[in-house]
Amino acid sequence: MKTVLVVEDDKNQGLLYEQELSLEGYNVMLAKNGKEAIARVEECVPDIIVMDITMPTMDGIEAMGKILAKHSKIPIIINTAYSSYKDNFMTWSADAYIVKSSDLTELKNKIKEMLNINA
Amino acid sequence: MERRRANQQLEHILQYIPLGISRMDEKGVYTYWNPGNEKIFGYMADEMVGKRTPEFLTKSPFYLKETLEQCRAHGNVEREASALRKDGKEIIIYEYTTNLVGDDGAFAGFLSVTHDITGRKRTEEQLRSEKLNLEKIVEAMGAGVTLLDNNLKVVWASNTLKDRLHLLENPIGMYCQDIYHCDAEIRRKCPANMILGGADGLCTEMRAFTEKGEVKYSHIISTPIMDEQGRLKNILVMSLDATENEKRVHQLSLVRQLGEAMQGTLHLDRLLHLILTCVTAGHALGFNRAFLFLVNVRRDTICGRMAVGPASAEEAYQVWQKLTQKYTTFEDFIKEADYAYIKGTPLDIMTKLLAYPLSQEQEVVVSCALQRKPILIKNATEDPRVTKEFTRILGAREFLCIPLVARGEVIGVIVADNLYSSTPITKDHVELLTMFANQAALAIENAQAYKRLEDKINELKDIQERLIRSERLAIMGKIAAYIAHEIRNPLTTIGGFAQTILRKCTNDDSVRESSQIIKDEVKRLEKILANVMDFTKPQKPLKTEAEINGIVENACLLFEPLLRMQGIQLIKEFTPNLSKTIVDPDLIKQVFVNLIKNAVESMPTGGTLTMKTVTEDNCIRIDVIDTGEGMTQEVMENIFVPFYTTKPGGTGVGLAVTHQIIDEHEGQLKVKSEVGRGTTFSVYLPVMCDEKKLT
Repeated sequence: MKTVLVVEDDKNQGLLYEQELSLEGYNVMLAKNGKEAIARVEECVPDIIVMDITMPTMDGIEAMGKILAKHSKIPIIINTAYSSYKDNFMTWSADAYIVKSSDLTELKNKIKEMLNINA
Repeated sequence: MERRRANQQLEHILQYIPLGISRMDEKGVYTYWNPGNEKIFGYMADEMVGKRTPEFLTKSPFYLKETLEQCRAHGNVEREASALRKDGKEIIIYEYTTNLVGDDGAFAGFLSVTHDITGRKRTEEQLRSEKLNLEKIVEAMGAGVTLLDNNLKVVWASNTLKDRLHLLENPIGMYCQDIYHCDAEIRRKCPANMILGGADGLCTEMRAFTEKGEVKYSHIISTPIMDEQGRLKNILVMSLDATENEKRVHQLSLVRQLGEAMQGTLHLDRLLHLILTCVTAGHALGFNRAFLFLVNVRRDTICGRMAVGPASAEEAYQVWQKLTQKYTTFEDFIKEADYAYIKGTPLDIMTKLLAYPLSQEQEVVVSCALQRKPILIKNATEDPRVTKEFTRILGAREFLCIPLVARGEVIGVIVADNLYSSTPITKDHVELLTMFANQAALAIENAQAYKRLEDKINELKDIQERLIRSERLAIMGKIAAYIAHEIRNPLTTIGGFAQTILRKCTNDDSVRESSQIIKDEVKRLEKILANVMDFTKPQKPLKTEAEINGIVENACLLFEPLLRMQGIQLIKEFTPNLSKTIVDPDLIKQVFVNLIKNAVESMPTGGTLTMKTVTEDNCIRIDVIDTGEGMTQEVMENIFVPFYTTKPGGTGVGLAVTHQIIDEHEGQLKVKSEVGRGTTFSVYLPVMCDEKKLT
């Protein structure tokens, strides 16, 4: 079973992703901010990370930098409400960029695709 | 005794009287010749007595017999005659002859009394010729001279004055004011009147009217003439005609007024109208037609810019009559004249088509500009300075070219003629027009400078407006972005869970239905948010060479099903082979998508949508024309303001984004609309050939 780390400060949204991705057959871990995400990765290296950007304490971009420094192989999908971060070259190191939507189809497809490449 | 003494006395008188006294018998033979006669004629009594009046005595033909017969019939006769003295000197005599009656009452011969009037005659002659000379002098002076008595009645007036005032009757005996037609105002200032009041010689300027009602201006010099007792006897009034002078002064003052009016006019087109109108106005310079050419420094040409003048003689008459009736003074004319009437006349249009390279020196307009001197053409068809072509266009035999020189630079040429009245153009006209042209040139120069300034100011205003708009957009964008994201996150959750429920509860239809509604509504909201966020998204256009017709075609394609559904007819008027432009095709397509969307929404019950592409100057213009509801002025003013919308459910960003995109392409978006008739959006995109513009 593949493990997905979802980094999302919005509690309810986190719950949604947990439910939906579990239904897809993944083992879902949750982190409320960048700092927590780093700690989770230390505990257990996930197969893939879904990363929000705007979060308190530490934002997704900073966390992504830190995680990739240690675990360059983990695929990271940026999942944000802002399309404007596409222009921030820091986000280019992510493997995919998804603008949040209530329709989770795109996210699910991306996760599947990433995991297949890595497999 | 008594009788003897009387005879002696008579003898004495006859001896010494300084008159010639002679007696003749009935046949004219002298019987007596007194010493007085001897003195007058130089002939002694013994030479004359017993002889008839000799032929040699008279110079002019003298018929003695007739004279004596006349005397006998009338009792006396008198005559003046020239005579020759014995020493050959010519004298003039006065002779009085009377019949002599004897004691018996019978006719007894003739008695003549002769008087030498040579001296008197000479004096008279001299006086007469002096008087003639004087009159000649007075006339040569060109002065009207009047001698008035102390009641201001005319005693004498010179011919010059009679001619000048067109007097029909002899003014002598008339009152001065009646021949000069003075009103009370003038009479008060009248120098003759003042002299009556005790003033000395005076010199004043006066206005008078002739019998024909013309206005004449005169310099009047009045001198009192006193008698021996020092009382005022006559007043000598000399008047010099200053009308020509006055006309000149008037014209000069007009030129000055024109100058002032011109310097005060900074609007170039209005000024040019004013200049040409002044050249042709009857009030001012009075030419029939005037043409204005301006030098185009950039292109090294001199181009027709404007023309004033009627197209025919009848029109000429009408136009000036209308103007004269409308404006009584020149000031009114300048202030109120409607310049619009000359715009677009055949003459004006023809002139605008004229352009000569400054190298074509054979063209009179060009040579006038190059030489900077007025050129007066008297006979265009035979003058080598005028080309046949120009003669043909102008149609006038005689015309005048005046250069417009400002600050040492030739800025143009005025051509003026009298095609209809055929009034000859004189040196005076040339001088006056030259003077006028100098002022006009300065005014044009000013107006052109002002125009440049105005253009710059407009440009600045434009930039400022753009800045304000983008600033406003930026702030609005930030707020919108913040709100959008704050909303988007919970929306994602709501929609996501609705989806979850939908999937989980496969058995409960009412839950499924409700979930589906939540899901759909969230989708709609997300769509709106995406729209807002696209607008707030800072995005640089990716420009590449593109073909506008294709992009417009593409945008239309998207709407075809919708257009069919709403019963809208699509008309495409594309100009083929438009120049390629350098644009971001996606963004420009978005522009047309937005505009077509607006158009479609304004025609809910069908209509016609016209898409048109044309080349205009250095731009491609794309029109999106609908036959929809149109917009009010108020709506038009706000359509580009972000978040302004008149549609329920609209976000108000479509046109703001459209405008933004066009701004980024250095293009322009213009809109025309009429409520109930429809709206036209015109997109102007520059045709760029500059590689640097490619980003």
